[in-house]
Amino acid sequence: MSEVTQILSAIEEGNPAAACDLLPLVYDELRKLAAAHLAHEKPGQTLQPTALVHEAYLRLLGDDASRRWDSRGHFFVAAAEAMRRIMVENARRKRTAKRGGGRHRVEIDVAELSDSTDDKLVALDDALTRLAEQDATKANLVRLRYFAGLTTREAAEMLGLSTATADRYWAYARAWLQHEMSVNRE
Amino acid sequence: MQNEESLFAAAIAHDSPEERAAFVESACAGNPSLRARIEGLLRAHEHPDSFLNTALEATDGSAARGNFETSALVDKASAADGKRIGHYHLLQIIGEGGMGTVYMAEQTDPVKRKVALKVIKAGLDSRQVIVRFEAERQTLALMDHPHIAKVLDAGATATGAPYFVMELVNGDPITRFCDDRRLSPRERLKLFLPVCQAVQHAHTKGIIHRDLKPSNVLVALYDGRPVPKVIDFGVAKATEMKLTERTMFTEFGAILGTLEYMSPEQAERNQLDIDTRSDIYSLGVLLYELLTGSPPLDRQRLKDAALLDLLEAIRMEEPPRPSTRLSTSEALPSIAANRSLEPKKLSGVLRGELDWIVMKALEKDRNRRYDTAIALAQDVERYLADEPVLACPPSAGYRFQKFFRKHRASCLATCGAALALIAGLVGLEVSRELLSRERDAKSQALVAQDVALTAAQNAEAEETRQRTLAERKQQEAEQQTARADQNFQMAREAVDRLLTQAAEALRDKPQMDSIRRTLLNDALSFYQRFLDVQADDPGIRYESALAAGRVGQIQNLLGQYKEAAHSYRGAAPVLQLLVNEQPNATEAREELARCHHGLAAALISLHEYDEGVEEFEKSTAMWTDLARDWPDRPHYLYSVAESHAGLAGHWRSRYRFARSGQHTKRIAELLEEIGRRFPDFPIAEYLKAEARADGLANISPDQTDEKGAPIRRNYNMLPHDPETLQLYEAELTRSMAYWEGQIAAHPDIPRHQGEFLVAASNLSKVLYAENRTEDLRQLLLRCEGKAWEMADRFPEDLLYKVGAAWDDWMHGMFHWQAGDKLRSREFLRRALATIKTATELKPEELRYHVHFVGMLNNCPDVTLMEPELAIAEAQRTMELGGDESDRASLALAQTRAGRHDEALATMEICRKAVPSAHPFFDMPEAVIRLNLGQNDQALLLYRRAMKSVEQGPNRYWYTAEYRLFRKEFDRRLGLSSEVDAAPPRPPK
Repeated sequence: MSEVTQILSAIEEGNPAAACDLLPLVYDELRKLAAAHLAHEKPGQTLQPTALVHEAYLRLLGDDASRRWDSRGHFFVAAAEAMRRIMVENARRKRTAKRGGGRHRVEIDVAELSDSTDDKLVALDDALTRLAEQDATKANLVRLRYFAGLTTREAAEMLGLSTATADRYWAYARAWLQHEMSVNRE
Repeated sequence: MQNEESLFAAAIAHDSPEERAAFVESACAGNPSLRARIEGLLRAHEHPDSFLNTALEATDGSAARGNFETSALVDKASAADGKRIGHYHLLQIIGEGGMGTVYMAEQTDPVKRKVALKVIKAGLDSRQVIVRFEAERQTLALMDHPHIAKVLDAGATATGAPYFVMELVNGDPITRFCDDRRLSPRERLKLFLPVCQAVQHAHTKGIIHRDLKPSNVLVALYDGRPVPKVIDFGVAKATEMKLTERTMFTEFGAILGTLEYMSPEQAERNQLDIDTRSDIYSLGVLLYELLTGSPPLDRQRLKDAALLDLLEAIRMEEPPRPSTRLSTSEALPSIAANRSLEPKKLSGVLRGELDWIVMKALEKDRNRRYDTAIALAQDVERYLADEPVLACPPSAGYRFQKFFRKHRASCLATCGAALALIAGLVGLEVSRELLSRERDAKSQALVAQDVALTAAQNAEAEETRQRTLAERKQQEAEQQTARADQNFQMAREAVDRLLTQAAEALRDKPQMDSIRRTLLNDALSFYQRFLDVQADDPGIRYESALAAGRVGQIQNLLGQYKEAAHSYRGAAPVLQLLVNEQPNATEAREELARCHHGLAAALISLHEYDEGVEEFEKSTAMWTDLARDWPDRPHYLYSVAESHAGLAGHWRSRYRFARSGQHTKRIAELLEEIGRRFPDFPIAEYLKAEARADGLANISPDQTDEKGAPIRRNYNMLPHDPETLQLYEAELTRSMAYWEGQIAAHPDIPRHQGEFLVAASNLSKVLYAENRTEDLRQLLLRCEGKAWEMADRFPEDLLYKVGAAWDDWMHGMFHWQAGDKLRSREFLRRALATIKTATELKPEELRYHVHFVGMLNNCPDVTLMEPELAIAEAQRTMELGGDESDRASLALAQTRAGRHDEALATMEICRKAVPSAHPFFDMPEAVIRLNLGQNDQALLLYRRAMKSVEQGPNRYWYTAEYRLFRKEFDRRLGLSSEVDAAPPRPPK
């Protein structure tokens, strides 16, 4: 049985402290995967959260992956948080490097595209933090969808919402975030 | 915020912007800042930022492909940069898909021609891809089929991306081709047939496609005729990655593209054993799509569901039948139009047989699919010819309908015919059961006809014809007979090659097992025809002896050892005579050596050890002579090593380690010599492993068999003195680790798994004897599931099944002793059920019945005991030539069933035959005496057995079964029991 499987069992048995153990594990694995993924990609390529998170799920749970299907919610919540950290850290680091001017820029158009992507990601994260202060559920919904690559239906299931409610939340949260980001940019 | 949110929700409920604006204006009257905020949110809603959108839609599946296309374009640009790759001049892009870009290219060297060049997307290790391709190249070269596009070359671009060069096919994917031309279902089926033949051809060459889908089946027009060609053979294998790796290196969209055609076993996380039947599944999906316009996996689902859900669906969910899919499809009118049929008629055409055929190919359990691609094709052909299909257990009504349609005229013609039909109908109803049972065998037979022997049959027909002619026109005759002979020779060579391929190339490919058996059976019937020829002509007798040797070889491969021994025994004297007459006839010498080797292997398998060893020694001597006479032929040396391997394995299994060690040492020397003198000569992995298998020989003298042991069959022995026992344990531990390493390095060689399990089982005996519960628990944990893994991988090999039964038994006994009765029962029940299946599948195999009786007699769980069944089984062992130890088991079964007097009578026969003391006889008799109330005699026998087991030469008996037996005795005789304590160490 993998470590993650054990932690998931512990959470199910009502040990909330176990959830804290989950995050570092998932974070580590995702970071490794992300690094490997980026190494094989063209510059400017953004990470594909869906693929990475599912990959991490399979890798960490090993053969238990299909057996532990019911308790995957906890995993994805942790994965969403881990993925968010990775993507945002990555974006922040790249921005810093560029501002420092230490990077020789060759592929201008591609790099520029990537710049704006990174900026937006950071802006999104900031906006998301503000959203979380007002409405944690909606922020979680966005995290699960955006960073763990879940569909609305899956995310709703994990947050204990009806799909209709989740759709409504989603529409609002998305508009709210975009509005927030545009206001701050201006 | 709550207010903002509800206003926003209410606003977006209005569809038109005008209504929305009006709503906001009235709702926010007097609150301009709220109004500004809501309007800001609505703007964002109406003009979603592409950044938020693309990333999110990627998770919904639909945009993932879009993303992928873009990155493929980037790749394309970089690959086309040089305009040249290797010898190939890139002309234009002709396709983009799953893993890369396909170009039309011009080859300039060595010949000028146009080819298709496929550049695999970055992300794969090109070196690895090329290594894998090189490994397959030899086999790929064997493929020569009009419906297969040849893979010509592979390499890496300057930027490191792997590429493949293929025969250029200017065609469209089969589905598009059919739709564009509005082909009817019948026309589509006809086009589907050659695709099956192509896949079958590849399968007989040992190649699995693994990625069959419409874009890999192109149809081009040649002389106005549509010709389908399967492309990309070997590409999937070379670029293969585990599913988990694939999600990492290719985009999500790339997987989606192949998910639709993926077999359930490919959707498993560990795609360990993909076999030919995986291609059958993909052919089923292709057929499904050809008929219904879409693959079974709902495209909408593909967009909505997460990857893991989809994989789950592929593994678990039964797809709707084609006719059901169509009747529920909104697109039915256009799908029907594409097939030149009215909508209603189309569903009607599919319902019934076509549904069955498709669903049989799509079975989740691959054992229930068509065995071969050709079997699928034949069923389609049957459908086209209005004959009953095999796909579904046919009802009498269905068969009648078919018969009627085919013979309508004659049916209506006479009353008598109608009567006959009714009679036939009744007969059919009765024999339906039989028919469905025969079905498997029959489809096997049908496959057999097509696969292998066309060449042989043609030649034979030719020969017959020529011989008839020869009688009429004697002048022409000689010439023609010569030609017929020549044809016949060619046919024989073809079958010889076929046999070599089936025996060697497919040997360690478990996924090819059913094909291999088919090939072997075909070859068998071919050679057997020679055996019927009776002639005094020495040439013909030699031919016939050769054939007998081949027959023996095949029978050995099929596990028919008795028959094999018979065949070899027939061949050996003829060959010997020939060798005596012409000592220089090298070929005959080789054949004779092979004959001795084969006979030896068969005899060992039949437990005729002495004779088997003798035969092995003969073959060793003959190969050694040949190697001496022909020092430049490495395969003679190699054969010497193989003979030694046979002997080493035999002695090791008899626990004669000093002897097996001598042979092992010799193998190592021979391999070293071959490696030195003929560095290019390939050496099989098993032989390399064998050369290093046996360390025990150096530390332990032979454990000699008991002098005058009362039983004929040799049982596994444990070393007597503690020091050797310790060394023995160390050696077994080392051996397990060694084989584990071998398994990891060569997972395809089943033999290594077997060796690992044997070592484990022997180690468990030591641990039992020493009563080391914790070590035992660890050992069982380490092996858990391994035996079943083998049994599942090789469902046709009963040896693995029996191994799994013993493994279960070991676990069951352990848990019983540990007090976990519930868990124990599960294992014991499965062990009994499995061994029972083995006895039913191979009722003539004495060993399986012996195992079954042993388990039934010793089962600690009384709820699972079946004394009457045990008696019947024990009687069966005696019928099959069981020995006195088996008779003792019969006695034990009888007394367990309460038939104590019968048991005693049986026991007396044993005692008459074998007067000496042995726990094998003392223990059952003790039980019988106890049951008869003769406690004194029982105690006497019990003590004698105990002494032999605990201190004497029979320590290997100190097993879980023995402990249970002792417990029962101690309880019934009121003795204080110390069974669970460690046994006394034997005297040094």
